[in-house]
Amino acid sequence: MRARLGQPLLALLAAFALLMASAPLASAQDESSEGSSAGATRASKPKASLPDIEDEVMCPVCGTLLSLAAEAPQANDQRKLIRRLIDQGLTKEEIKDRLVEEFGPEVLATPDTKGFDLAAWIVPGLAIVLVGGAIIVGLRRWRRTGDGDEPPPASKLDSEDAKRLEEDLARYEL
Amino acid sequence: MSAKGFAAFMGVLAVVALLAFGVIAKGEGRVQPGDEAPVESLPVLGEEGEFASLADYRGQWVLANVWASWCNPCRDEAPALERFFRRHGGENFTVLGIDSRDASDEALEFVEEFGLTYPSVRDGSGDYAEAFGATGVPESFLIDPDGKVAAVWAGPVTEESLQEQVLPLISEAS
Repeated sequence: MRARLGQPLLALLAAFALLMASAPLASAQDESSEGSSAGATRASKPKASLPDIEDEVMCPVCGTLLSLAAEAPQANDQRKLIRRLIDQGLTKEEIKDRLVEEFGPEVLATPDTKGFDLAAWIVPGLAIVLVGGAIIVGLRRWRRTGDGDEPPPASKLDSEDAKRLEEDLARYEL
Repeated sequence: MSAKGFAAFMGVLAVVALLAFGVIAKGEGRVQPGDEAPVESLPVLGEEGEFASLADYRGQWVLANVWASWCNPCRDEAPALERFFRRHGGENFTVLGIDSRDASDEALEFVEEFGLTYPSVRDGSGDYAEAFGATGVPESFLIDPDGKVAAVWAGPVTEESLQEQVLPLISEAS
C-alpha cells in the first residue's frame, strides 16, 4: 500500500518539479525572444547621439577629435551637419558614412581594418608582444644571473680570533 | 662593433631617418610660379554627378580659389571675386572655387549668400588644396593657359590685387 501510494506521489512530485523547472525557462525564453525582437528593432535603428559620434570622428581642419575641437568654426559646422543627420533619423554608421562622403576617410578617428590602415591595428599589438617578450627574456636572464651569484666565501678566523669570539659569545646568554 | 652595438646603431638610424622623412614630407611647400598646377577631377558643388578638373580649362586662365564656408576671410573676398569674374570671365578667363574641408550644405548656402556664379569643385578631404601646398583658406592660384602656376596668393585677394596682378596677365594674353 505504501508502495502503491508512494509511486504516484513520487510521480506527482517529479511532474511538479519538472513544471517548476520549466516555468522559469519558458519565461526566460519569452523574455529573450521579446528582448531579441526589441533588440533587433534597436539594432536596425540604434539612436545616434552627437557626443557618441563626436568621439569617433575627426575635425579635419583642427586635426583633433571633433569632441576636442571646442569652438572652431569648421567643427561647429560639422556638428551642425551631424545634428541635421540625427534629426533625419540616420543611424550612427549611416552618419559616419555621410561624413566620409563629405570629408573623405580621414574624418574617421579609427583606422580602416583593411589595406595599409590595418597596420594601425597590428603594429601596437605586435609592439606589446615584442616588448612583453623582451621583458620576460630579460627577467629570465636576470634571475639566472642572480642564481649563479654565490655569496663571497667567509674569511676563516685564525685560532686567536676564534678563541676571542668564543669568549665574547660566552658572556651573553643567548 | 659588437652585434648588440650594431643593432642599437641601426635602431637609432631608423628613428632618425623616420624623423627626417617626416620633416621633409611636411616641408613640401606651396606650388610656385612656373610649377605645373595639380590636376584632379572633383565633383562640382551643387551639380550632382558632374565632375570638373583644371585640365578642362586648358587654353584659358584660371584663378583657382581655395575657400570654405566657415572661413571669415573667404567671406571678405567672395564679393570681389564674383565682381571680377562677372567683369572679366569668359573664354579667356574663369574663376574656379575649390571648396575645401567644408560641409556641402554650408558651402551651397555660402554660394547662395554671395550669389557666386563661378563654379566650385568639392574638396571635402582637403587633399586637392594640399596638393597645391595650401596651408589654410583662402588661398588663390592663377593658372596660365598651359596649366602652369603664374601667381600665388596666401590669404584673401582684394579688388585691388585682382586689378593690379591678375588683370594685366589675362589682358596681355587676349
